[in-house]
This record gives sequence, C-alpha cells and structure tokens, in this order.
Amino acid sequence: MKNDAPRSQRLTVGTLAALGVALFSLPLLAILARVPWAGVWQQLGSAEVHDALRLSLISSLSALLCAAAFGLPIAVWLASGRSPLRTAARIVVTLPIVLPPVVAGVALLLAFGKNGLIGSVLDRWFGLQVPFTTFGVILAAAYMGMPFFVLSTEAGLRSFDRRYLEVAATLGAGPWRRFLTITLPGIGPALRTGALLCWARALGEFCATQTFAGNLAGTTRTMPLLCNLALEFDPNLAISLSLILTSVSIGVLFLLRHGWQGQR
Amino acid sequence: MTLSLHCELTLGTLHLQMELEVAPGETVALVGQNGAGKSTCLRTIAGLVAIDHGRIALHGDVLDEPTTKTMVPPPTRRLGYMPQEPLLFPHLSVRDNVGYGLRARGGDRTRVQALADEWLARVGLPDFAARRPRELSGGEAQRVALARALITEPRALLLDEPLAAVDASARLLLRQQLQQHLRAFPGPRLLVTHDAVDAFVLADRIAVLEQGRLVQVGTAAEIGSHPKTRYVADLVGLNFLRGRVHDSVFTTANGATLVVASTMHGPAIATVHPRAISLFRERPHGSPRNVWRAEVVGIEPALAGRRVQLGGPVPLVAEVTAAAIAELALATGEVVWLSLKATEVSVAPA
Repeated sequence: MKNDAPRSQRLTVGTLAALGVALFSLPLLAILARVPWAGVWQQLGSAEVHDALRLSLISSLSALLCAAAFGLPIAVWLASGRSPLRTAARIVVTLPIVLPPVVAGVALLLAFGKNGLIGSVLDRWFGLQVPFTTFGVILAAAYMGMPFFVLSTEAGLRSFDRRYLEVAATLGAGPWRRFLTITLPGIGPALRTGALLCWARALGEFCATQTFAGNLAGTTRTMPLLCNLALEFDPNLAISLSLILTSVSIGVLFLLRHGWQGQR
Repeated sequence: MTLSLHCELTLGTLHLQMELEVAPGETVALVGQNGAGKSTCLRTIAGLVAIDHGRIALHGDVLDEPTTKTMVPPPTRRLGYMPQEPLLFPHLSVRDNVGYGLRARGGDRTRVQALADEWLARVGLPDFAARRPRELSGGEAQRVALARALITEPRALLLDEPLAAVDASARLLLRQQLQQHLRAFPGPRLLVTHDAVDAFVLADRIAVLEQGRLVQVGTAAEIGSHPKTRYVADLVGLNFLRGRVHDSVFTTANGATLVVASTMHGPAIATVHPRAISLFRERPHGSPRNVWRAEVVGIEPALAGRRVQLGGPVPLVAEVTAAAIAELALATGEVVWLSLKATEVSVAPA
C-alpha cells in the first residue's frame, strides 16, 4: 500500500501540505524572530504586566472553579439520559464554542449590563455591577471556557462502564460515595482534558472580555487585553507577552497529549 | 437464613418466571444457555434489577416485593455479588479494592487494610496488595474479586460465571479455591454457570433455566438419571465419575478402571455422554477399549428413547433407542455387555 500512489499525486499532496504547515509555523517563527531576548525579563517585570498576569490567573482559575461547581452537575445531568430538554440544554451550553466571541460579549452585556435583563435587577436591588469589573472578566472567561469542560466530562460519563457502580453498590456504597470514589476517578482523563481546555480557553479569552468587561488596568485588563493594547504603544512588550502565552499553550498541548492522557 | 426467590419479570425479550429456594450452607448452580435469564436472576437478587411480580426474601427479610412496594437498594442488602468479569476498580490498588466494601460501611482505614491483607492471603495472593488491577491475570483478578465480596461477610453469595473469564490453565486452581471458599461460607450460595463440570463439582443442587423458566432442579445424580428435557439431558444429564487418571487409565474411587484418551495425570473428573455407551447381548468385537458386563438396574423413558441405568463398579446411564431396547430384549435385572470408546470419555482435572 505504501508506495502505490502515483508520483504526481504524492508531489501534489506533499507540496500543499508543506504550504499548509508553513502557514501555521511561520507566525510562531515570527514571534521567536522578533522577541527582544535581552529585554524580556525587564519588560515582564513592570507593574502593569504583574496586574495583567494576576487578573489572568484569577479569571482563568475562577472559570475552572465555575466549571467544577456548575459544569460538572450539567455534565452529570446531560449524561444521565436522553430527552429534548437535554438536547436543547446541550446546544445552549456548547454554543460559546462556535459563537463569535464578540457576540458572546454583546450577549453577556445585554444580560448582565446595567440595563440588562438580570443586570438591571442586580443593580437596583443589590447595587451590584457586573460589567467592567473583575467579576465580569470571570463571567466572560467561564462563559467561554466551561463548554469545553462540559462536553469532555459528558463524553467521559457516557462511556463510563456503569457495571463498576453496580459492584460498588452491592459492596455497600451509597450514591454519593459511588460518585466520589468510583465515577470521578473513573472519568479522570476526561475531567483533566476538559479542565485543561477550559482553563486554556479562559486564559486566552479576549474579545468577549473586552466587549463585556472593558479594558481597565488592574480591574479587567488580562494578559491578552494588555497584549492587544501594547501592540500600539510598546510592540516589544506585545511580542514578549505573546511568547509567554504561546509557551503556556504549547505546555497545555503537551499535557493533553503526553502528561495525563498517555497513562492508559 | 434461607434465600427464597419467587420472581417474575420481563426485560426485553426475556420473560423470567421462577421459584427457587437456597438453604444456608447449600450451593445451587443455576445453569442454562445464553439468554436463559441466569444473570438476570442473580441481578434481581442483588437488587440491580427490580422484579415485576413476586417476592425475594432472605430468611424472612423481604428484599423485593412489588405488592408491598418493598425494594431494598443494593447497598443495604448485604449480599456478596460477583459479576461475570472481575470488574476491579482500576484506579484502586488491589488492597483498596478488597477493602472497598468495609470502607463503604464505615470501617476504620487501618483495620480495613489489615483485614484486606488477611483476605488476600486467604485467596492465595498475599504479595499482591500494592499492585494495580491491570497488572493481574484473569484468574488473579477473579480471586481478588472473590475476596472483595467475601470480606464484607455477606448474608448470601451470588456468583455469576466465576470461572468464565479465566483461561484454562488457571481454571482448575480457581475452581478448587472457589470450592474451599464456598464450603467455608455459611450462607446460601447461588452460582451461575454454563459448564456442567463446574456445576457438578461446586454445587449441591443444579437448577436448569431454559428461556426464563426453571425446567428442573435437583442433584446431579437426580438430573442425570431423569433429565426432563433434551437440553437438560445434553447439558447436565451426563455421567460424571470422580477418580484419578494416570497413563491414559482413569481409576474411580472404588478401583474400577477406564481407558481414556488423555495425557494428563492426577485427580480428574471423567464425563461420559449417555449416548456414547453401546449395549450388546454378546461380547462386542472391534476397537472399543472399554468393554465390560453390567446389570441393568432400571430403564426410564427418555425424550428420544430410553435411559438405561447400569450397575456395577462403574455405574453409568446409557441412552438407547426404544427399538434397541426391544431388539436386545432389555429388562431390569438382565446383564448386558457395554462398550465405550476411550475417545468418548472426556477428562478434566479436578
């Protein structure tokens, strides 16, 4: 089989594939080529970078917490059967994956903004304002990141062998103990994949955040927002931040493929 | 602590309707073809499937009774259930697998671990505590699963094809161990199998399930002499002989010998199909290696012909056609020649 494709076909496929791979590798190489290596550390030492880093970590890890607190129950419910309601819920929950991020930002603003559906109530009754606050950044990050966690976890739950739960039940374990000691460890790889994808998406979130939470230093300006801003007043800073974010992404890919999944 | 089962349930194409009682200290083997309802029966007792009508009780303690809306959930039934595959929890060590049930019932961690180690030693795996389930062979995993079920001191034991997932070489050892542990277990034991030899070795009584109905319940000897259906006759209506085999000679407990075509040595169970035995008026000539004279002890009508019970040092049941009975003028008390080819005796280690 290996070599029965005609030479012309192999040549065509090879050339187009090489062009395609170049399309992906050139931008990365461009970053590396333009990194002001001598000044990277100095640039990353500024207060505004520290603020952005802190906000990014807070928002992305909070999104992860939201995924554990709300995404896991959603996945459990979605995986527990089939019904039109579940199908509808699955569409709503996974929509942010394919939704243009700016639309997500607009939608969040219409819901939680000062004059929004919920936002007006929150503002009037509790004096709470979501947009243009750190809480708004977290909300945007969770909105964009959680769908990955829900999808991955639901898939894990659906393929989990329920006979393990039956055995655990006959051994005396009640439903909560079964869930905590058998189901959760059993879907471990799916949970970790979902958590990584959710965290990475939340960390990189830019457009929905900018639309919904604005770009306020120290409050809503995360790393991607700072990077975008820096492109205008300090390109070298933008390049350094891009280097950091790219390294994190490569790390995530590595963990997805080798670190946690390859054990079984 | 008798386990009594009157159950009726429909599950897909299966309609299960059966009554069965298992006494404390008694092992009943539930045999039957795939899809006959054996596993489902076990699952109803374990509480994994609810029955539609009837009553499942353990010594008066009702576990499932639709009329009174009683359905005790599996965790509180306190039954030992072993599914077809060992299903050891893959993320736990062997020790934690064995201790899982006691921990679930609130056992102290250190004490449970000590008990788990003790049970691992009892099933012959004392050095396996720290291993992961994926490092075990099929037989080892099944022994761990047995320890995991027994450690909780269940009120009854339900074993679903405990020897099915095990390769032939490990089967013998596992069967012997299973026999020991079944004997030591004080409660009722119900064992699903489709292997007649396993049923014969491990069980006190055999219950034959066909398409959701029990067609016959009795000891191996009872079923062997009066199988009620063709299927029962073929599955468990066989002649089983205990003895030892050495150099292709099988010696029964009372010293009688059979020539067999087996190269194995040691304790064995010989199985002879009743239709493999030929009866003659005169001493037959030819190749059969086993030829002897035996008295006809009884003749029973069978599904296709007659089952002739033969006495002597090797009591056997032969199945012959009604025409052959007439031709040979067979009757109780007559003495006939019987022949049996060495290749028709199947020998399994015991």
